[in-house]
Formats: sequence, C-alpha cells, structure tokens
Amino acid sequence: MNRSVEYLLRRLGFYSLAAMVAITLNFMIPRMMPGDPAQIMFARFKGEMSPAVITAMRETFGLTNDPMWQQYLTYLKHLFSGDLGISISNFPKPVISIIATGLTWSIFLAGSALIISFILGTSLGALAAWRRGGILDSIMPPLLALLGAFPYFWMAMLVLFVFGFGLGWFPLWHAYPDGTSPGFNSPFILGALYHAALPAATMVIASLGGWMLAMRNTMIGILGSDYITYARARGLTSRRVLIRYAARNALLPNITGFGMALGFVLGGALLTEIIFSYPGQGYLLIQAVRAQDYPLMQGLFLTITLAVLGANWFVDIVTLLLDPRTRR
Amino acid sequence: MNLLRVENLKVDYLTPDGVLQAVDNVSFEIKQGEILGLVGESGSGKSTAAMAAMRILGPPALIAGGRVIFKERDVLKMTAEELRRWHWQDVSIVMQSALNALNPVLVIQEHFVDTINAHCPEQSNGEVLERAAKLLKMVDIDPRYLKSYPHELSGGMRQRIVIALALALYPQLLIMDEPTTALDVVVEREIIKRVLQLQKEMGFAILFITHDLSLLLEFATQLGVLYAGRLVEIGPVEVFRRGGVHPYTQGLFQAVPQLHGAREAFKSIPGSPPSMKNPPPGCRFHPRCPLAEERCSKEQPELKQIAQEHQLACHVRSRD
Amino acid sequence: MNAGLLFKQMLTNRKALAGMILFGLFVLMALIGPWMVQDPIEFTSIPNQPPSLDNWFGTTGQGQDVFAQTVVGSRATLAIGCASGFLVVILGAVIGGIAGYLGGRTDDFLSLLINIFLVMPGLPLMVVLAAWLPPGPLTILSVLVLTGWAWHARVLRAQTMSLSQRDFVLAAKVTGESSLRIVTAEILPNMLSLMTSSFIGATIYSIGAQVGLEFLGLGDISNVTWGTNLYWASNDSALLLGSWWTFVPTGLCIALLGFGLTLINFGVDEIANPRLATESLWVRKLKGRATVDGSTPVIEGGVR
Ligand SMILES: Nc1ncnc2c1ncn2[C@@H]1O[C@H](COP(=O)(O)OP(=O)(O)OP(=O)(O)O)[C@@H](O)[C@H]1O
Ligand SMILES: [Mg+2]
Repeated sequence: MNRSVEYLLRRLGFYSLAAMVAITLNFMIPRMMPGDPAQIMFARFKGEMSPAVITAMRETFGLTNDPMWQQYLTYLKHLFSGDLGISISNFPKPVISIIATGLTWSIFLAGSALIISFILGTSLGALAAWRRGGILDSIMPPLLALLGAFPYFWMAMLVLFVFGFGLGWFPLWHAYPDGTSPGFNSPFILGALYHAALPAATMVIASLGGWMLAMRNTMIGILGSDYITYARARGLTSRRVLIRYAARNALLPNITGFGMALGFVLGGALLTEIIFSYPGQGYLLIQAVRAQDYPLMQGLFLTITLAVLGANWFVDIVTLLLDPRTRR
Repeated sequence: MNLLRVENLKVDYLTPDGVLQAVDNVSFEIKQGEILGLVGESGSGKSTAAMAAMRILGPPALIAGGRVIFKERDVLKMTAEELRRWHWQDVSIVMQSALNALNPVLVIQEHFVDTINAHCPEQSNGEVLERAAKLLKMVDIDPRYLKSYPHELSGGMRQRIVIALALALYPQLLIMDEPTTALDVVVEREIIKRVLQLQKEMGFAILFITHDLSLLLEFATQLGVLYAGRLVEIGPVEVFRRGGVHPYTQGLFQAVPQLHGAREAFKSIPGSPPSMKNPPPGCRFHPRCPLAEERCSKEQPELKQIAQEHQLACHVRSRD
Repeated sequence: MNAGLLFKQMLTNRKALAGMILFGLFVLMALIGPWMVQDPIEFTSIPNQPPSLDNWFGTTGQGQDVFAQTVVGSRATLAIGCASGFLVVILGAVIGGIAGYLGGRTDDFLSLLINIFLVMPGLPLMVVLAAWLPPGPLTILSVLVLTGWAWHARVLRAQTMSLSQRDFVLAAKVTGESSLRIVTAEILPNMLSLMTSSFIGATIYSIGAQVGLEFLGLGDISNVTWGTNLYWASNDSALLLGSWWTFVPTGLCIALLGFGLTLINFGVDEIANPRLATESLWVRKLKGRATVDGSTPVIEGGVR
C-alpha cells in the first residue's frame, strides 16, 4: 500500500508542476506578445471604469512597473487568494464567481457525455473484437469513424437544427427550464436532464468511434496473448474469458488514454456548449472572445486546466486500483 | 487402452502469402499412464500439433483434416460446450509460453478459483481454496503465494504454479510443451523430477514436447520425431536408446547434447530446416539427408510399420 | 520499410486506397477549384436563398455564393492543416527522437516537458494564445503546432527507444557509427509507417482545431476558409432562419476529408500491424465458419 501512496504522491507532484507551468504561461503570454498588455487588456474598460478600479486590476495581473519577478509574485499572491480579476463583459463581477457556476454545468454536461461515450464505446469495441468479422466488427468502425470526422460543434448545429428547431422535440438553449429554481427539486433536475440530453448525445456520437476503435485494437492484441489461450484451454466459460481476462485487461491502456483525451474532448465539449447556448465554460469562452474579455479568458484557461489535471489524477487512482502492476 | 488417438492430423495457418501447412498427416497414440515424447527442431510443428489436438489454436489456424479421438469421443466434432468440459477435466496443458500464461492482473488464487469453478461450480469457496493450497504444496510452493500477482514471482515458481493448475482437476492426459526451456538446468531437473513423481502417484499420461532428445530418453515410454510438420519416426523409447533408424533421428544423436535448448545440437546436420511455405517435394528431409536417392526427391515416404509398434517414413531405411 | 514500399502497399490496401482517392479529390479541389468558381466574397445575390440553379448551394446571410465559399475555403484550410500536420510531426520526431535515443537526463527532462504539454487542455490554451496574437493564418499555424506536437513526440519517443534496443542498432553502435548516421540510416527508416500515421493523425487534428478556432472568431474573419464559413453561418443566425445550406456543405466537406484521412490511417495500421491483416484474412477466408469461442475451426480439406 505504501508504494501506491508513493505513486499517487509522485503523480500529484507532477500535476502540481503542470499546474505551475499553466499558471506561469498565463502570466507570460500577455507579456510576450507585441504591444503593452495592460493597454490591450483594458482597452475596452476605458470610460466604464474608474482609474482606481483599473489600478486594482493592474495589481491583480501584476501589470505594474515593478521588475518582472516582483510582478510574478504579486500575480501569484492574488491568484492563490482566489482573485482572478474582474470580468470585462460582465463588469463588475469577479471572474472567479462567473467561472464557478459555468464550471459546474460543464462538468455535469461534458462529464456525463464523456463517461457514457467511454463506457458505450469500449463495450462496443470489446464486443467487436470478440466477434471478429461480425456485424459490429465490419460495419460499425467505418460508420463511427465517419461520424467522428464531423467537427463536434457542426454535429451540434445539425442536431439542434433538426431536433430543436425543426422537430421541436428538445429545448433550444440553456441548462434548465425557465421558472424552475436550481436545487434539489424534481422539476429542476428533470429539466436539467432534458436540456442536457441533446448536447450530450452529440458529444457521445462524435466521440464514440474513437473509444470503440481504440478498445477493439487493444482487445485484438490481447485476444492473441497467451493468457487468453490458456484461460480458454482451462475450460473457462466464454463470458468469463471475455470479461475477466480480455476486456478487463484491454481496458487498462484505454483508461490511460481516457485521461489523456480529457483535455481534447473537453475542447470539443466547449464548442458544443456554444451551439446550445449551454451556460458552461464554452459559453463563457465565446463571450470572452467576442468581448475581448482577457481576464475571463485567462481565468477560463486556468480553471479548465486545473479541472483536467484533477481528473487525470482521479484516472491515476482508478488505474492503480485496477492494475496491480502499477503498484510495484 | 488408448487414451488419445490422433490420425492424419493436418493443420494450416492462413498467412498473407498463402497457406502454411504446419502439421501434415501426423498420427500418434497415447495409452493410459504412458509418456509420449515429441522431438523436433524449432518450427517443426510440435506445439501446433499438440494445441490443435486440444483445439485451442486461435486465428489464423484451422484444422484441415484428420481425426482426434479421446477415449472413443471425436474431438473434432465436439460442440463448444463439450470442448469446454473436456478441457482440463480430461486433458490439460502446460503451454510453451507458460511464463506468460497467467493473467497479470489476477492473483494466483483467482486462477485456481476460476479454473475449479468452471468445472465444479458446486464447490464452496473454502473447499476451492483448500484444494488450491494442496495443489501448490504438491509442487513445493508455499500456499501464501496464492495472494501474489504473477509478476511478483520468479520464472521457476510460475512454472510450478502452472503445473499445479494443470493438475487441478486430476486430468488423465497432461500435455507439457517445452515446460522447462526457459529455466536453468537445476530448476529444470527438479521440476521434471517432481512431475514424474506426481505422474506415478496420480497415474496420468503425458505428452512431452521438447528439443532435447537426450532428456526424453530418460523417462519417455514412446517417442516421436517430427520434421517440417511430418512425423519421420515413432516407436518405443528402446529403439531410440539404440540410436533410432531414420537418418534424421540419427543426425540428432550425433550432436553432443547441450545443457540448454538443443538448437545448437542440430547444427551437426548440414543445411537448415525447409521453408514451411513451400516445402521440398518428396521427402522433406532429402536436401539434407546423407542417404538421399533419386526417389526421395520425388515421392513422399509414408509412415510404415517396420517392427512391433515402430513406424518409419524413409524410402531407404525401410527397404534395408 | 522504405517510402516506396510503404506507398506500394498502401495502393494495394483497399482502405488506404479509398482514403487516398478521397483525399486526392480534396487536394484537387483546393488546387484548381478556386479558379473555376465565382468570387466568394462578392455580394452577388439575395441573401439566404436556398440552393438553386444559379447558386448550387444557395446564398449566405450576406448574399454570397455558398458553393464558391465551400470550394475556395478548402484551399486555406487544407494548406494550414497539412502544414501544421507536417510541422507537428517534425517537431515531435525531433524532440521525441532525441529523448528516446539519448535517454538519461535529457530524456527525463524532455519527457517531463512532453507530459506537461500533454495534460494541458488544447483548446483553451489555443484560445488564449490566439486571442493575444494578431489574427491570421500564421497565428493559427503556430498555435496548432505549439499545442499539437506533444502527443506525437510521446509516440515517436517510445518507438525510438524500442528501436535503439534492437540488435541492428546496437551492432551499429558497437562498430562505432556516428549517432547521426545511426539515426538517419537505421532508426528513421523504421519509423516511416508510424510517422506517416502520425502525420495523418496530426493533419486531422489540425483541421478540426483550426476550424474550431476560426469558428470562435479567432481567425482572420475576412478570409474565406471552412472555419470562417461556419463562423459566418452562426453569426448570421443560420439555425434560427433555417438556412441549413450555409453550414451543411462545409461540414460535409470537413467530415469527408477527415474520413478519407482516417481511412488511410486504417490502411497504414493494417500494413504496420500484420496481426490485424492476418486476422481479417482468416475471418474472410473462413466465411462464417470462423469460430468465436476460440476453438480451432475444423474444415475438411482446408481453404485455398
Ligand atoms: N500464428 C502463426 N501464423 C503463421 N504461422 C505460424 C503461426 N504459428 C506458428 N506458425 C508456423 O508454424 C510452424 C510450426 O510452428 P510451431 O510453433 O508448432 O513449431 P514448434 O515445433 O512448436 O517450434 P518451437 O520449438 O520453436 O516451439 C512454424 O513454421 C511457424 O512458423
Ligand atoms: Mg513450440
């Protein structure tokens, strides 16, 4: 068990380092760009804000006349006290409070889509490999590859156009019905599920093929391995060989892939949210881009990165539980 | 009485550049409690023949002909469920790659539980574990290793465990495919000694596959020599103790037995084994054979009885 | 495997061939298409007209010809996609190759760098970078390369590592060949199929990401590309107005191009991984007599 703890701590150390890199990038990017970052960042503030507020904002981002390292320290100090600055498009709300609600919705939507797609995709992949040459194995991979080739957000546009605008089966925007109040009440929860159904479905469709193919190919490799032949030779039932010997082992590399794909799939999820006007991180992102709201953009980058790093650590824990070899 | 009878077995591999006949017309019999040894160079089709007889070869293999009879039952006609039950209760195998035969993410105990449960679902967990512990003791392994993962054990330990697993349901036939080539000599000797003791106690038959002819001479009762997918000579071990009759068998003897793996030993026969994709016409051994005549390159010799239980496939020697 | 042989095998692989034909059609469209259609920016007709004989794919919310925009848009999108795919693989091969070949401290450091870039979520990083840089193709290209290289560096590092342990490389090292020669003569040729599939994967990724960035309005919105086409469609409320023809053709083109590239990769996979090909062959030849329970099939007389 000690080794497991040590392994998880080592991973945590790595993620902390990655987080520091992200934080530093966030600090460096505006300063490496042509022009005066403060000028660009606050261009749209002019007239709306009092000089006092602008000074406070400069403080937050360390955009003072101090030497660079001191600017960096100032920036870190604000960051660790949870100050990500003030949003320009939602003046004078602090970025952190805007992002907090957005993050909840994003995690709910992208998280459930990702998990459904992963479970469905790997199961299909396992079955396709098990029944080589069957319908699942011959028709599904190219079909899903074709579906997966559509950009997430385009798929979302089409689906929304057909099922939302055209047929009117699903709501067109937002995360829950007007008139319900967020909390533990059934109109809100059912409404939220109803609103998430279509965006989640498009994400699942667009990403299913990737998981299925990856799982199928790992499974084919594993099915040719000696311990599968040996398990069959011992007279184990097919079901048992499939689940306990083949699928379980093939899942391990794919879980690692799951961790690494998180960041990528999340990008697609953000774009999907934009189409559905779903009030998650993606929706905030487009607002930030359209309004050149740099503080919000950078805050989004940071929080999304931290969320992805956290999720990766979680994946490490799961891998550790499933694979004794990492416990070495 | 015959336990296993293999008749004219043919096994093909479908490769991108054509059909590879890895086993061609191989026939042999194993009687109850007997030890049949199969020798042959690497690639001669030993593993293929054994695994096809058990019907556990996966893609790209297929059985292209012949019969496999186990105690009056036709193995090649068995349904999937019949095969499943036949496996391990009647016949078990220690595969050549035994070191990779265990699932790396399951502890040893679970391999025993899965195996026993598959055949005796009525046994309680406690009984199964008791039996697993007893089996491990049989191969001199401390039962506490039941809780270990395969990667935590040495090669020799894994090999013993795989042997213990093979005996879990007291089979009548145990196939051992080069069970000791990956181990050092001392461990090899110990393990073989243990298996032979167990064989005396429990009375199962063994099909023992190896490169090492001299090893087989010590304990086999019958011996078969495989060359390029065909049996060239098969008979009681005494025939081979006297040096065998087929020129290939004799070539095997001219080599000094090496401590480890017999690969080196075959160098005393000039040339190299034929490509299995397009084997030479006639006798497959003729390009390397010191006695080859014209007929040998044209006509394929069939196995012929030349003495009590002794069969030979050689135009020259069966004439003399 | 040298480039000629790989290409020859790709021509005989059904999937790869179909993919290459599809890809070739789009390359043709990008190369000569723009001269064959009308000006995509000119406001020629009534806005938001459905497909007709005059405007095959209808008109945009501004009255431009959608067909012309779709054809012209392929050029910039494909150019940036391929360029970025190429640069990403080169960068990945250099960094991954150095890490895998040299090992030790260098590898520790580079692996750390690779892993950090791998866990960074790509799109948000791209957005921040693209928002600060002046809009334009160069910005998009550099952002794509910066966020895309790590994956391929990881894959190519692993391959280099396993290759440098092979006998022929160890032999070359013993005989005192220079590192440069070993890498170019022994290692690189053996990574060809992997680098090909990396390039194709990177191109697919680059096209998708580029379209996404431009859709967000982070490209130069006065250019005609597949990404800006979708940006304008969404900006002109295509969904609300029901003008599906403003976004469907571009999306289909992106998907067909991506699908073609994916097919090529399926083919390269089969060539590089003979197990996949061998098993497909087995399944095909046995025609329904293949067993799924793992037992050896019995076919009297075999198959030809
Ligand atoms: N999966 C496969 N696909 C194609 N050909 C195969 C496959 N497995 C084995 N062969 C071929 O079949 C022939 C017999 O192989 P087999 O493994 O039975 O030999 P063996 O006598 O057991 O050799 P060894 O002593 O090395 O174990 C060889 O020529 C080999 O190349
Ligand atoms: Mg063998």
